[in-house]
Amino acid sequence: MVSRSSNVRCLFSCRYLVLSAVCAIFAVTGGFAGASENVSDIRQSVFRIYAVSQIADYLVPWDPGRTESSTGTGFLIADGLILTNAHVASNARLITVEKEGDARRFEARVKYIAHDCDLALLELLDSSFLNGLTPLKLGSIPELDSTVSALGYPIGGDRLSITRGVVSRIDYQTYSHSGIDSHLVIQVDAAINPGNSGGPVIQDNRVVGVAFQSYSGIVAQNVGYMIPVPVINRFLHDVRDGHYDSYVDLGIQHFPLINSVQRRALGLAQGDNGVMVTVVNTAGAAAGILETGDVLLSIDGLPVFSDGHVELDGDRVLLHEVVERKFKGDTVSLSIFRRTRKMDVKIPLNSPWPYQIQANRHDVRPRFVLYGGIVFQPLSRAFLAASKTNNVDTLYHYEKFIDNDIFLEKPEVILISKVLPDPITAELHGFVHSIVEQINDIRIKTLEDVAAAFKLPVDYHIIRLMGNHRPIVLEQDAVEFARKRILQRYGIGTEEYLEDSIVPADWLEKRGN
Amino acid sequence: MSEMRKEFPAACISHKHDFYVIIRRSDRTFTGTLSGGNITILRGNTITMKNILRICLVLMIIPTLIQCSHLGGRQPSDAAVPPVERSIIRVHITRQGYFHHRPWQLHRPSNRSAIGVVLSAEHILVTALPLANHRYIELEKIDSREKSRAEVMVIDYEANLALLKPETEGFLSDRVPMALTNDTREGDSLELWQIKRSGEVLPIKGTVASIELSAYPLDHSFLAYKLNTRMQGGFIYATLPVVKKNKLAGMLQRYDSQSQTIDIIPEPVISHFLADAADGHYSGFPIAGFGFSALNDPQLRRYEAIPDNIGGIYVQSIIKGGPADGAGLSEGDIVTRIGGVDLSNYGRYDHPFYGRISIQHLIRCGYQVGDTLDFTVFRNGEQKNLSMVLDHRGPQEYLVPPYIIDTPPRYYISGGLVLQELSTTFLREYGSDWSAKAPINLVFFNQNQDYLDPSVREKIVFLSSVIPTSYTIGFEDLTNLVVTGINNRKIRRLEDVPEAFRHPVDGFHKVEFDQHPRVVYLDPDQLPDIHRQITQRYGIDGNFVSPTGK
Repeated sequence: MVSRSSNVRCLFSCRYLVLSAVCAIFAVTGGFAGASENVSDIRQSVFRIYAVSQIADYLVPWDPGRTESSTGTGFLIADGLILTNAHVASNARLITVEKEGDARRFEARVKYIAHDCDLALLELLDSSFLNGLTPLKLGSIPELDSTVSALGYPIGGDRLSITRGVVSRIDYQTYSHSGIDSHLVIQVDAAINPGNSGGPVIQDNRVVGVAFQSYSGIVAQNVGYMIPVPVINRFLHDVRDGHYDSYVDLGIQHFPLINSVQRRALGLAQGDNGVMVTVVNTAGAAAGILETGDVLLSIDGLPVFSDGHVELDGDRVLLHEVVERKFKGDTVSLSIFRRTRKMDVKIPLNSPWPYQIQANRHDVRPRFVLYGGIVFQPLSRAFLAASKTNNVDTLYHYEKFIDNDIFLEKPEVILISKVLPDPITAELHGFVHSIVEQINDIRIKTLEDVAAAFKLPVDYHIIRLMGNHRPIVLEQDAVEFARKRILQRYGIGTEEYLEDSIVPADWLEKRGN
Repeated sequence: MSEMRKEFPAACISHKHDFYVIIRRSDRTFTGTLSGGNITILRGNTITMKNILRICLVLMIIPTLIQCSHLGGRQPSDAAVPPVERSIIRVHITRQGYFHHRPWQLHRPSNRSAIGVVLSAEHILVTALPLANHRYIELEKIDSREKSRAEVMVIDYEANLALLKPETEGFLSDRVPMALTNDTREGDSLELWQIKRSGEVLPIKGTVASIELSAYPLDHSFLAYKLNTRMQGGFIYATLPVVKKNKLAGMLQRYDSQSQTIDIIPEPVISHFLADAADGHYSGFPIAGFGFSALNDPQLRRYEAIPDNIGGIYVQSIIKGGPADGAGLSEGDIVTRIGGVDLSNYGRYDHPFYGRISIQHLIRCGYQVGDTLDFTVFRNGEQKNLSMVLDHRGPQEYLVPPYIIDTPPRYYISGGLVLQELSTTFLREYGSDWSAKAPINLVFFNQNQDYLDPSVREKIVFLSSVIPTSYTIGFEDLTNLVVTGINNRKIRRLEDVPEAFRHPVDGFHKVEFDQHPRVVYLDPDQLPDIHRQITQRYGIDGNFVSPTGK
């Protein structure tokens, strides 16, 4: 797994089919209310959260989506704010909070939400709910094999549940809420079940983590995970300016320098220091600064070992941990060796946007354009999961979007996602899941291009697709004639949704679009 | 019986009553359409039915295959139906192919049995796939259990047909050649000759449900009969004859126990195969080299200003350097006629016996490689006549060869790096759902090879694995990386690799890939030690170069 574990982000082979494995880690939402044991003050500040969320259907992008209700856990952290998991509060249309021994349900709303680390802060509409309650205090990273207690409202009963276990492992793992972000996690063997999500894990009366995911029983037992304090602290720090900016990273992949010939060829003495920079993401922070073949010697003054670890606060952690603790606008100092020369570089950190194609996105609606009975949508993780397509071109563009710089040519990969049956689309069903290259001689780089191309005053719209396909011809008059009946027949209220793009506007400007 | 043996197998004259008459005379081939009593030779001559039969009889001597002199002789007649056991023969095959993921390693030998059909004193027809990577072929007479070693004379894995020849002289002299029948139609009743272990023939009757083009095992499209019937207990033989009135109608290709349908390689495909093989030089089935789509979308027709009376197909892709390319066909052309027949908007034509079937059948089975195919295109509002010289596209003519059978995979080992040329056979080793399981970038190359720039490379050379040694610690997990360069030289095919390794750069071998980790280095001075270690520890030739040449 050399090539994979060394990626800055979770670049686990994010091929769609592998996603099912990630799904085995289920988000622990669901369950019912309950009450106490002997942690008195603390348990008063642990709440049952009920949320009604609305889930968009990427196969019917104009549809508002189905609603679901679920329960999770949250706790009072400070200043009248409740900390919980992002997945408890995402896509929420209604959130209510209940405390032990109180029949009332208070409505809350999302104040800040961080999908990349699965944390959210809620605030009460009526803050009297919190009168007399004590905010929980954050602790630190617990010792391996030390005992912790998880508090929450999991399935299996109505009252507060407390389960106890030991800290089994401290490691990096993918956060399944976004599916692409890997951060520090702590594995505990306390029973963590659906409904525990967002609940505090306590040691010595301090919060040492937020329960958030676990393995389902088939593959493993007693494997629960919590978000540790460094990640919580980073989130709380990030939102201090009133806005959550998300994690930043270097946007590189690196290769361990274990092999002695590889070391010599790069001009390095024998030893256990340094990793080789392999891929520099063109949209990432290091673009134009680092090159393939550079040797990364130190990061913010910390020597980099040849397996990509650094020693931080007495622990050996992946070098990314240095970047993990930084914020938008921060820089990182690297000392590198390039061919014969040692150099120091400073890199202003950012969040490379192309990774978002492979992320589970929340609190957004599916982007689409409907024209002439054809639905155009950008390729995304949600679309792939919904469509279950096995179209090789589609999967290739998804999986290699970042590594093969596909995003330079196609910041969005636009697919014909659906063809609505109608006399004007009678011969077009074979084109579903094909990638759109051109419409009316406009190269299609984003969904906005699709919308703009169809507004051109032409008699025939010509759509050209990737691969072995004839062009699609849509007659302007025929489209206009069929327009109303298609909208009516399929109950479609709007013909396009162009918000919520993953492509930053300044990226398009910079690239001259 | 010896007279019977000399009988002209029906294979050679099977097209006599068919729509297309192929008359082979030295190197010239005429193809004609039959209408009423007249044959219209495409070159413009019209001759009568009587004449054409005479010509057939005179010309259809396919010299190497059949030593027949008197065509007017007795047909394998209904008068004396021979014991069926004497027209068929057991074929036992021992096969041993390569693991393409470990190209130096052979599979365990495995055995397969098939039922072949005696076509002449020297020829036995079987399907090709059971013979894939054969090491030893043995024939066994069903009645006497007499055995002979056999060799492959002609094999076509795409059409899934092969001709075997016994090594023992006169081995088939007491056999009764079976003739082919060309009059199978939809709705006919055919017999599948299941052979019991005792040698007894157990005919299973079934009805021909359809005669249409279908994907053969290597994904080529050919005519196939589909037979609806149930086979008890499956079948132990890789193929069985399918018979109509004691004449061969086709060979069993596969049985789907779920839908209870049997795919049959039909007589027209077999006859084409035999005719191609007859001159001792087998060329394979021809292709036209273009992809098309239907032309029935009224919006497309109006945009292209195609009059209502014009039917045809829309050319959507052209294989570079293929027959259509050579004929000047371009994307966007509308092909209205091919080989003298009108095309429907779905690329079908009216076959007198099979109804509307794909034009691919006409191109594949109505012509041989080297024949000229006339066609008409509608371009810029005008009809235009063009002609192409048909060709076969062998597996090595692809960027990613679709199959590698009977030859070892091509690879190169140096410094523990195993470099290979990508083939579909390699990808298929990922299992039945290989297109989902194999690395997506390699599957993408396989699927899009006709659209990728051929000037970049002739074959995809990739690092398939690293054989772990003391010198390559840290490289063990590298796999499926496409090699873009070695020592700053471009790698366009495997032959470029040994040459590039002769020129280290700054004292190192530098191997570059298209993805992470992008570059690894080897020490040229260590290579002999690495090779020795691989040979000693793994028993593999540590410095292997596949022989050049195709």
